[in-house]
Amino acid sequence: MRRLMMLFVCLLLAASQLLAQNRTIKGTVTDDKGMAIVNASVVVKGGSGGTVTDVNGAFSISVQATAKTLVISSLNFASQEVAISGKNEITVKLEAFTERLDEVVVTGYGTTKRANSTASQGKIGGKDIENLPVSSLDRGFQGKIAGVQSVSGNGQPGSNQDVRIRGIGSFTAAASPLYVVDGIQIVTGDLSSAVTTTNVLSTINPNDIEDISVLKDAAATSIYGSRGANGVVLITTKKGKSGKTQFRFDTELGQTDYASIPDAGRPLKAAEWFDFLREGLVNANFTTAQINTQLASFGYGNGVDINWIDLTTRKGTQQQYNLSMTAGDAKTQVFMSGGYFKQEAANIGADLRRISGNIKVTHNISSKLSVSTNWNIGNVFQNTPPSGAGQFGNPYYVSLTLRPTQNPFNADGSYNIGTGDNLSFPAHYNPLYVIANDKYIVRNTQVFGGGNLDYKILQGLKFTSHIGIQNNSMEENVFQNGFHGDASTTSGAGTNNYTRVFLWDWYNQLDYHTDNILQNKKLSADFKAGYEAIKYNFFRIQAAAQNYPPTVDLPLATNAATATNGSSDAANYTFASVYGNANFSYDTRYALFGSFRRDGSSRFGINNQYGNFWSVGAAWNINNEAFMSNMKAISLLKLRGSYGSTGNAGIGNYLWRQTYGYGANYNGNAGGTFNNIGNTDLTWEKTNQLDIGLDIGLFKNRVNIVVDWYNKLTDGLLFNKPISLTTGFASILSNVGKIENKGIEFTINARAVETRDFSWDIGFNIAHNKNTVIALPNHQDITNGAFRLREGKDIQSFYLRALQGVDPATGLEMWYLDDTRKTTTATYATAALQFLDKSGSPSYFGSLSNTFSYKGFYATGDLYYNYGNYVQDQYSQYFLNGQFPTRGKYSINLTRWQKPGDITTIPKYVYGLANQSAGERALYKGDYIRLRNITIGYRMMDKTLLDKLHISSLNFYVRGTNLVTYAYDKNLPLDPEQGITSQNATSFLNPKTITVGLNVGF
Amino acid sequence: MNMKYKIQAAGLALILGFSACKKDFLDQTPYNSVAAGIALKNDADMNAAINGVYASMRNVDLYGLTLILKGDIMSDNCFITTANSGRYLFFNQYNMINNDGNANNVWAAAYATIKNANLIINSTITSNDNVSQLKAEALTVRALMHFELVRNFATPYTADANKPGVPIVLSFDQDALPARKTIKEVYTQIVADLTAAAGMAKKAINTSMVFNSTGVTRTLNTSFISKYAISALLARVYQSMGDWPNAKTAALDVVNNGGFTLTASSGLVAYWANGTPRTDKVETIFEITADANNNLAGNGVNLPGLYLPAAAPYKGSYGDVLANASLYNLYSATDVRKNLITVGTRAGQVSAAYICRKYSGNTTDYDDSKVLRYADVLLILAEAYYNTGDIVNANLTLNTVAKQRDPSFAGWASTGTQVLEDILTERRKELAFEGSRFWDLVRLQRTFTKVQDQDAPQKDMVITPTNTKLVFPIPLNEINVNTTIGQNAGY
Repeated sequence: MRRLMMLFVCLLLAASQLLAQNRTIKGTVTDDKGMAIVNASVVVKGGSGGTVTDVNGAFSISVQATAKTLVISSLNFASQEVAISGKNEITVKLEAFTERLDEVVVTGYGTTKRANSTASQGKIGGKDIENLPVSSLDRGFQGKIAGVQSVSGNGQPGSNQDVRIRGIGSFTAAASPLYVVDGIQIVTGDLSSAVTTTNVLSTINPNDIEDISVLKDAAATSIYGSRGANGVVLITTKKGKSGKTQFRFDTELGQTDYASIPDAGRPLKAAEWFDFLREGLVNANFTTAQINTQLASFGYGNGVDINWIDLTTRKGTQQQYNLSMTAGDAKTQVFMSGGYFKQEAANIGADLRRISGNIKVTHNISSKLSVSTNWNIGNVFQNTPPSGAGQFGNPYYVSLTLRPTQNPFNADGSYNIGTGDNLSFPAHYNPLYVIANDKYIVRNTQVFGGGNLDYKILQGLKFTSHIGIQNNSMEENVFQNGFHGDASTTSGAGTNNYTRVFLWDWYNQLDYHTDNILQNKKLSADFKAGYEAIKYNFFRIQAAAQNYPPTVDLPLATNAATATNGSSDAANYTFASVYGNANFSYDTRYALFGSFRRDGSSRFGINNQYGNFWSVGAAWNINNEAFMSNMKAISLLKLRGSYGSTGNAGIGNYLWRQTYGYGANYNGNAGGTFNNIGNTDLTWEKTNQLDIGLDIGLFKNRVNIVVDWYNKLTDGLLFNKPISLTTGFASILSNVGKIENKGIEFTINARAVETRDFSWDIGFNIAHNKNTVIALPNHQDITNGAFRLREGKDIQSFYLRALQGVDPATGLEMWYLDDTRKTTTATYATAALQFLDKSGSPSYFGSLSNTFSYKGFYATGDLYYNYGNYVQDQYSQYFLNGQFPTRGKYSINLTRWQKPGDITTIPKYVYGLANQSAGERALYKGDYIRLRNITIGYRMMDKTLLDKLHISSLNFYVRGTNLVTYAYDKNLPLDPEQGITSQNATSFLNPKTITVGLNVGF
Repeated sequence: MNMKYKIQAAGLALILGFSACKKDFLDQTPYNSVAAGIALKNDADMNAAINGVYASMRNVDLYGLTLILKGDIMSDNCFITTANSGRYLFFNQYNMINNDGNANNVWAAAYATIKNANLIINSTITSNDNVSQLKAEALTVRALMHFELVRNFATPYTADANKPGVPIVLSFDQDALPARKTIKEVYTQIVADLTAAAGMAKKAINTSMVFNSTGVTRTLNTSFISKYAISALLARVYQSMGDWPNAKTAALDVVNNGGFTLTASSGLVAYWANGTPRTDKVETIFEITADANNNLAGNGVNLPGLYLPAAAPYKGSYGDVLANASLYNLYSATDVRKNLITVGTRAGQVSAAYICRKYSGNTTDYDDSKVLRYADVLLILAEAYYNTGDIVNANLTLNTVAKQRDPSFAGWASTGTQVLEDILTERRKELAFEGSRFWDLVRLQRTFTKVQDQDAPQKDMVITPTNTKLVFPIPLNEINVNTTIGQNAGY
């Protein structure tokens, strides 16, 4: 053995001797303007080894005497082959591409050339989401890709974000896209159980992301089978590059504020509030004596005038620091990074800190075998006070509810925590004291990563084995103080929950590429076949206790005297699948694509445990046809289409089983009930989608246009089909119902002006989606909260009492008795609920961005717009009119009806008059435009100066996020951005940030 | 290896790897439940199932809150103050609509409890004394739920027993769309279930059962339905029907054989403060209990939460519900029940606030909800004596309660119809805040005044027996599916 080793070493030495018979080629690589391209890869065609360019775009490579060609490539540029026979020095100009046909696009389980792609998908480059003042990467999606709706329903840092791709495709199952990070189908969403909201994605540092591909049509998503129907977001993390070791440091610092509270929603001042109280009592026929006693009890004339919103909001800090390193040679490449992010919400008490680290190592063992591993760790620490609907601990909700006449401070400056009279806090607590003393802490640590092995079995045939894991552990520590607040009656209350999710995802795959089919080698084919297994395991421990010692400094449940909960929960799900696809391309003119996946899942009923999913696609690169050769203006013209099936497996893990469950304990004894009706036929929702798309490039791709038309028909919708309540169950989860999402997406990116020193880029996208409920069980309407599902109508159509208006004679709100709209009533309760044909979903949304560059200076502005939906203020009855006369009130009340003849939308203010101000009264037009981002910066272009500073790049900027919001409906008392359902839940205010940033490369 | 074989081997590995483990791999079973079909294998399983049935009744929509609260806020006993948390306002204002959440949930929760009881009643495991007792308890619960359903969702039996009642559910059928039986048919079923249960139940309070399969011992306390709880419930059902001879028989069974006593006068406040079930046969016959780990949803949505303000000394939560001054003024100064109302203050109300203290703000062990009390049985008996012409015994029985509560009271001694008024007054005083008052007014078709705001008597409502809101709406969700069931008048 030892001899063999010796021989092997000798051979290696001999080989290196052979390699030594080399020559050196020097050169520089620039873009078409002559600017140096840093970090471009330079390799010998057909050989091994290579180098990268330095900060001046220069390189020097040692090549064998026999080498004939170098391949020069760089991200965002078309690669170029350069003949080197007889040359020792070369200059290479690379052509930048935006939408080039030979650009590689990331697809499910691999990549493909854009020319061969038949799919509709969008891309967000790492540059577009790095360093943003957003707490999770999904918050950076807004406006970036046509048809991808990412809206915030809660300004709490680290709160869950709703993302919908091409409309809402489900009634009850998950409607969020599948997230695949480095090949792992990860768990996303909110894993919390004690606090209002968290977001798994907030543990990932957006700066570690190379790019994000959003898969939209069937040709792109069908390979994800039963999990692809809501679209798929493929996230690829950064990897190392061979060449000089490079570092990069990024920082952004600034402050947060809230984006928008319209004037209509500003709280009343004390004097105004007293006017309303008096007027309300008069209108409710109280006697003068009664009125004076009431006014006195609220402190009339004592001068207290509190603006609760001012007291419960602040200018928060926003900061982040990121350091990354890339290093490597031809064999091994490494990427490492570390990051720190901190955001304080505009609402008091809420913040998020993230510490993250990432490493990726790629190693080529031989020309055939390569391995890579990557590990990403993120730790999030959040202070997450209640931010949900109407929670008494939610400082924003309470700031609306409290009267301007309640003084938060005693005369000596201490917090007023009395509850005995109307001058203190008898109903809702003093939020300043509660936020200062309660704890809502979340610590969430996520590790994900895994290993990948590539083995080139023979020319064109490759085997890949990829195993990935995700481990997310979350601690929640909730403590409510025993002195004032929700737990004042129990001497304090605490909840300590621990939640752990572990998921593994293993796939093994064969890829085969050949162009050896026809003599002329014009036909090429790619095949892929694999199998994949995924297992998820969830575990949670819950502990709750009451009766704390008289301090606010010991929040853990262990300090409390009485345990009130000690339980646990667990769940599993599994998927086992085979998948494959085939892609044929002829002469880079015609491409044909087909994919297949067979999925089995533990979530599906025993009668329907396996499903088959498939897609076909075709593309025609018209610009490559001979007849197009004269039309120089058209650099790209591609027609593509696809059709196929996907599923939505976002159902509960055990819902198909008819079960008898425990936990219904009684008097300290274990108890069980028949708790789930089950359905052995239960299965995924099936979506068939047709997509026709056109990609156009004009004037050497200075103008790029992408248009897509799609029709998504989802059948077998998972639906809690109502059954008679007399069975003891309200509904049975069934595959009934059908829904259609049909729409158009349009994107244009253009360089409008380009001179030597100045450029102007315009980007615009718009998406229109029309949602139609096609079939419901028994064709019956179904009420779904404030919405009503009706065949032929939008899924988010509001179903409320219809408002005629305020009667100018009486000042009363008049409601239509029924949907004939002939008779009206002033008694809200007697009016029937009606289908309003007003939807919470926008008809159009998208963005417009402009970027100007002059030498090193640049300015970018992004507008996001949303049109055609209605926003429901679910808490309107508390803050409008007199039904709840002891609460704070919106300023819009100032325009109330006061005397016969007044024409207004706000009725007479009557103390205690029930049932006003809900129904259609609380719907507002949701159209708005928001200045999502504005950035002004300077990028140092002077190479000699950079060299003097010993750095390779320097960029400095000022950024404003959500600086201006323009809502069309002046009566709207809220921020118009209220989540996918457009319903206000008194959640935290969306942030507005102003930051300065610095990026340095060295 | 030849390349061709390499490919084939790799292909084979793929297929084998997929098929080898998939069957077990996809069979993931839940961590907290078993298949419903195999749940009840022996009497010990059945014991766990009856615990589940009792737990179903602890629901906020049944005895946890709604059923108890409704009887007082929809009567002349209580009202919801202006500064409130927005709960039960439609009950308070008599303007519920057909999708009133609180009313709908009573229907859903009652039938869910019936479903859980039917699993026991229809179990085919071999019978023994334990099984017989547990089935008797389940039958009683089924009767109790049908009773609550028919009196909440249909007009009173005493008005017209042939009007539509509610569906009777005796077994589980997920496709069922049952029609409403007449009120009379529903009561016939209730009586049949209770009669069968009375024959099967052998266990009185403070007796034990042993489950041989597990060795577990179960001692009956007031949190379970014991033998005489069934007779007590039967007495209440007959009272509701106006069937006085039978009401008398059932009540007498409890009085003569049950061994119950009233609590001592001096111990009444302590009796109400006690949060745990009893075995001493004092006062309580049956209650739904809640302990620290098995209580209701927190955050004040429970009886102490709605009756008591958050501030010390009450330590409740919302404190939305206050007693009418007229109720407080009924009690004489020496009546120990007067101590169960505190005269305090309430935000938003200028005049004195009468705060119910029957439910103590001990939030780690929420107060139990009393379903059947001995005093109630005695008052039913008094009313039965009166209605069967035995005025002497009516007054005697009535005074058993009245004099126990007010040691200085000389006793009622009326004649004629005044005796009934005395009984009703005593019932109002004794059973205040226990959900009873409304039903006395309804079954006797009385007109009464519903206070809205103690500071504004001009807002009082007069409720007559024809007010359609005395009856809950059939839930809209039921009507949408079960289309022929028919809605109640006024919705």
